[in-house]
Amino acid sequence: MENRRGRYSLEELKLLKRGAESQIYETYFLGIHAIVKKRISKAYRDPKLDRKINLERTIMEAKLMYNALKSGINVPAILYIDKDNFSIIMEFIEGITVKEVLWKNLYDPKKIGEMIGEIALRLHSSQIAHGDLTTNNLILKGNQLFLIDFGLSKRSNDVEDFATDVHVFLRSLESVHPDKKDEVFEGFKLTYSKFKLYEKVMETLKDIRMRGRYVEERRSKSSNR
Amino acid sequence: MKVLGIESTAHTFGVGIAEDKPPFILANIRDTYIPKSGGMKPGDLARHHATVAPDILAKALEEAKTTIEDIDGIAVALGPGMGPALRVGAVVARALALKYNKKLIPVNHGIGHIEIGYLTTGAKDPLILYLSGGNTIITTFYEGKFRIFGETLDIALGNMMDVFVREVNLAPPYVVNGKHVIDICAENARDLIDLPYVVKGQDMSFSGLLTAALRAAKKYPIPDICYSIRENAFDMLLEATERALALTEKKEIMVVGGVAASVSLRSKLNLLAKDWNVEIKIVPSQFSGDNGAMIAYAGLLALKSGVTIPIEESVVKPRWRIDEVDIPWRN
Repeated sequence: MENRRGRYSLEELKLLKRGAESQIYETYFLGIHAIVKKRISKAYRDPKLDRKINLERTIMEAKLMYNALKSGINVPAILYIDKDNFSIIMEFIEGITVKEVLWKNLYDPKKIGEMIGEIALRLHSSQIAHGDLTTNNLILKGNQLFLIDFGLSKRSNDVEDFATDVHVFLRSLESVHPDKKDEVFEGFKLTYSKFKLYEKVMETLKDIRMRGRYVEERRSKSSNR
Repeated sequence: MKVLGIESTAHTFGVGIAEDKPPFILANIRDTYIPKSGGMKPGDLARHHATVAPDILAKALEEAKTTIEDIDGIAVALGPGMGPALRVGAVVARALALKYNKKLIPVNHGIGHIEIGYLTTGAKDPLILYLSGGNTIITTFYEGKFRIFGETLDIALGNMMDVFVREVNLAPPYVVNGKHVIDICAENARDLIDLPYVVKGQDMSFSGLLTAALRAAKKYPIPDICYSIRENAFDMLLEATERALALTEKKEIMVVGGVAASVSLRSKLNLLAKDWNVEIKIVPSQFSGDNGAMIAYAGLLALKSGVTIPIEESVVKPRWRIDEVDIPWRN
């Protein structure tokens, strides 16, 4: 990560978070306050497979962030992609997570819900499923909401994937602030309902929530074989 | 207190006897059906189990140096598994319970694997990998039940490997000198072939990997594919395991089920353990594959908590999930 061939310069890296597959550092990149998301090599993996997985995911994450940006969603600006180190360097969003915003009553819950619904609408309309749409991955900066961590995102046309996003979001609301859940979700539906598959998504969402861990769905799937 | 347990969910008919004081397991007798070619046909399994049942039962009582009169309850694995095979165990168990007036104890096969794991590894609060021919589950105990963090969305990892080696005529037998034939075959690999790698959050999917590997078997050297399929499958599992570790912050990983015997899985897990600073606890090989002792032991725990089932309600449950079972003895 050091200054290699003068292509880019990073100042001191400060480890912010260690996830299952990546490490998140805070730094300054060409003077810009930045985040480095570096995918970790796994000792247990064949080196060739390790490289393939980390490379594919780094590229996919950057691509999907760019696609989300093109469809009008605020995402951290990508500053540099270091394929050799499986790293994405991106803008540090100086704001507060929605989790904290709700926790500390910093914003009207329904308004926040509307903004999240707008993000989900644009995301799903562009055939992107985020995969981890929690209040921890939404950052409020001034009056703008940013979506982060596209590590589990994928291109999809599948209602199930969209409904899973909504389900994960709802579950994160329930665990953060059950008392504000209804207000936030009401706002969410106000904007998200413009999605052309809205009815189907909500139907599937009901299924997902009813079956808990997909129990019934998996059962009927396998018994139909 | 002594419980006799009957296992017949898949290829193995086993009878075990457990007691609520050391050494806990008094007998563990089994007979495993191995088809001469192809996979397991449910009808053949049932015939095999029904044929060996009386003998296995007698040997288990003999090994435990006890009589059926001294047994306090009859535990039986009512699921998950193959219907015709399950029914043989259920019929034997019901008959014994009726004739000798014993309590009948319903046991979930997966819970059997997990409980014998706790008993034999001494794990306290582990993240559990339950890996067998029919199951690939990442679970942990929380508030009365085993909660599933991740699992296969289609076929089990063990089944996938078995089907592959069989289809390319390397098996049966699937295990030679304690090693799975996929590991033996992989020893001569020279290159990693590009195969699907599918992790969805904490869940895994193996069916696409199998299909792609069988197709690749026509184009590439078989050892390369054995190696690649194994690496992909285990790495998917380990990645899902890491996600669950990050979430649960457990300090132990307990591995149970037939795949726990895999040498290559162990060495991978040891590398993961170093990285996460966790302990790996693997069920001993005599209790890793399907066996009656684990059903007896889980049945013993259940009986001590008052879990029994009336004969007329003791139907087999081919798709009984571990997260449906209340675990009153573990709180």
